Amino acid sequence: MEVFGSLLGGFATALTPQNLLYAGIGVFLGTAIGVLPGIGPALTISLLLPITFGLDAVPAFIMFGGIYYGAMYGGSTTSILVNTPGESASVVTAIDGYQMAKKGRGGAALATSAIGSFVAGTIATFLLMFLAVALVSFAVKLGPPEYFAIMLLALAAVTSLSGTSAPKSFFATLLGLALGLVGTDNQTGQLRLTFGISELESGIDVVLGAIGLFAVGEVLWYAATLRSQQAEERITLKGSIWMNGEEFRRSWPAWLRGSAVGFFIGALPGAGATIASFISYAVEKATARGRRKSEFGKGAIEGVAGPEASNNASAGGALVPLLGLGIPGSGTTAVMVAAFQIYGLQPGPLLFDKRPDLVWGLIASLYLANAMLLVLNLPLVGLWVRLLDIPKPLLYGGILVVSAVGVYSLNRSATDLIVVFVLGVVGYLMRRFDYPLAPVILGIVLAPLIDNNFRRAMIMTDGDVIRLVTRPATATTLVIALAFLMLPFMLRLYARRTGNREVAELAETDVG
Amino acid sequence: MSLRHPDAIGVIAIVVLGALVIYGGATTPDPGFGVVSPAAFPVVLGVLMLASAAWLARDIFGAKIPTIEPIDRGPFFATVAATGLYLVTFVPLGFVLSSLVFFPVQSRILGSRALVRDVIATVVFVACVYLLFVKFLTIDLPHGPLPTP
Repeated sequence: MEVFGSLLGGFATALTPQNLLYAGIGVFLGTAIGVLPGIGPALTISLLLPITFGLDAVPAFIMFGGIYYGAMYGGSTTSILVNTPGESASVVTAIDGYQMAKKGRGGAALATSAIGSFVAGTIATFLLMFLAVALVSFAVKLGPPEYFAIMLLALAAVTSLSGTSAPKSFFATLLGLALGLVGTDNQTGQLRLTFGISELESGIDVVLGAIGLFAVGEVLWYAATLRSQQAEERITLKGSIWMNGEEFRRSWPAWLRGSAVGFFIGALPGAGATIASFISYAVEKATARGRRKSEFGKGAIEGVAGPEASNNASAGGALVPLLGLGIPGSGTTAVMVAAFQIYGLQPGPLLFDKRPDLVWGLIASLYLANAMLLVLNLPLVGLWVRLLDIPKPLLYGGILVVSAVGVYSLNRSATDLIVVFVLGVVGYLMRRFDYPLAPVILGIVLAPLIDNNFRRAMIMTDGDVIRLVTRPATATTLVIALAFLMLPFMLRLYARRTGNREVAELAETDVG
Repeated sequence: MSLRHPDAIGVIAIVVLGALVIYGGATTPDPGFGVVSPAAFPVVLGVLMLASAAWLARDIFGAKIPTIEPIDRGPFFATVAATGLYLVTFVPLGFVLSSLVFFPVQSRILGSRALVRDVIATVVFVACVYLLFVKFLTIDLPHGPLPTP
């Protein structure tokens, strides 16, 4: 009951006219930017971060709730009508969504996507409240050794589930960790990996990483593949934006299954919306019977309803480790950590005690953002599609200008702009040679936390590593981390032995 | 490992970076308090980078050399140069001047041939970003040689 009391307090905070306006602006901007191809949720949040600088923490985070869910939803419109997923989590939606649009059922595909996102987002936010609170009471009992092990687990999970080559994913994680260590060591005050460059003493912010790797890298990628860019085949929306009776009856079980899959996959460190949507698609295909099974790939509404629901539910799930433990499990939530840090806050168990207004205001705003998405998205579908009419040269030029402004407004530093440029070139090269980017972002955020917790844990155990790794909770977590590292090998082995294509695709999926 | 494999250059780059991280870590001064030196984590990372390079080298050893799509060199290198110049001149020239020059140039590099449209879009976009950040959000952007607003 305490949870509901706190939630009511959160609604009291979020339901002021001013905060409702900020939530609405967040939802609108998150969807508008998320619709654009090549711009995923992590980049959307990074690009929109500066617009919250002038706000107090509570309205800023209420706006963030809207941006977060809006960005997660945005990719579906382009998947369904243009066959160009706005982000990797919408790749699966394009398979059946685009086929439905070609058959004149684009409106129904958009409707099942919007309503499914609402249902899943609401269920996920409800589960988030209870799970995060339960995790908080557990997290306060954890010490540095356990935190160290949990962070290694997050890194192991994202490393094993990202990219198509194990050594490349491993290197991407190490690169992120190295970038995260640049600057002043906060335990001894010594400078590390700055190579005499005084401007690097304050470190490399995760927002610089996200904007450099994703935004500048994306523009360079577009320039490098300019001639091979194919003209978009856009489907004009015809008929009613609504489902018929049969489509609705087929959709709602898929929404519920997608919500369950998405939330629990999203809550696992490393396994984000992309994995959730792939698994949800596989679940829908496996549970379909008779004629419906053969419709998959040709316009099955379950192939849109399930993955879209799981995509949004995973956004709620991903907030569980972030709010409950203070540990991000994905590139997107790693950028959210930067948003907390800008306000001098550290997400985690103590935040529930110190700033209940902020935490519960954020959770309440997630409910509101979901409702706003439902109200806004279907009537505004024409506007979202028109955003795709922006000529690509202007769009990419605009992304660079907004990126430069965002980076500069973080610390008013010219060096940050150069760091972003270098990271952009690195991001392009990594993408060209198939290195995943999500582990880099997560590594930047986790490096100082892992380092601090490991060193504090070593003080606790008088420098005895064996004592550290044999504590029951630490040992269990490290074994799970090891299992995650083995997962892609096991999946590939299983796929090779059984010839199961879905498992093979899952093993090759890049969550970044 | 064949040097003709596209990942061979990656192996070399990771070795160089790993060595750099080990060097950067090893030269970190240790003030002598605490159980673990601040140098430890970077050195471990550098060593693991070398291990990942060896792992990648083993993976591509004797592997079939994959074909890799050639890039559009002109637009790519022009974008690298224009973006680099823009970010370097952003502070000394100021947001308005640098963006007014960069935006239409970048659009042209990326294939736009509608100069008038691009110039109008540039002016409108730069004005909107300026108003949003400087006037509405009260975030200072560099003004360069232009007078302080």
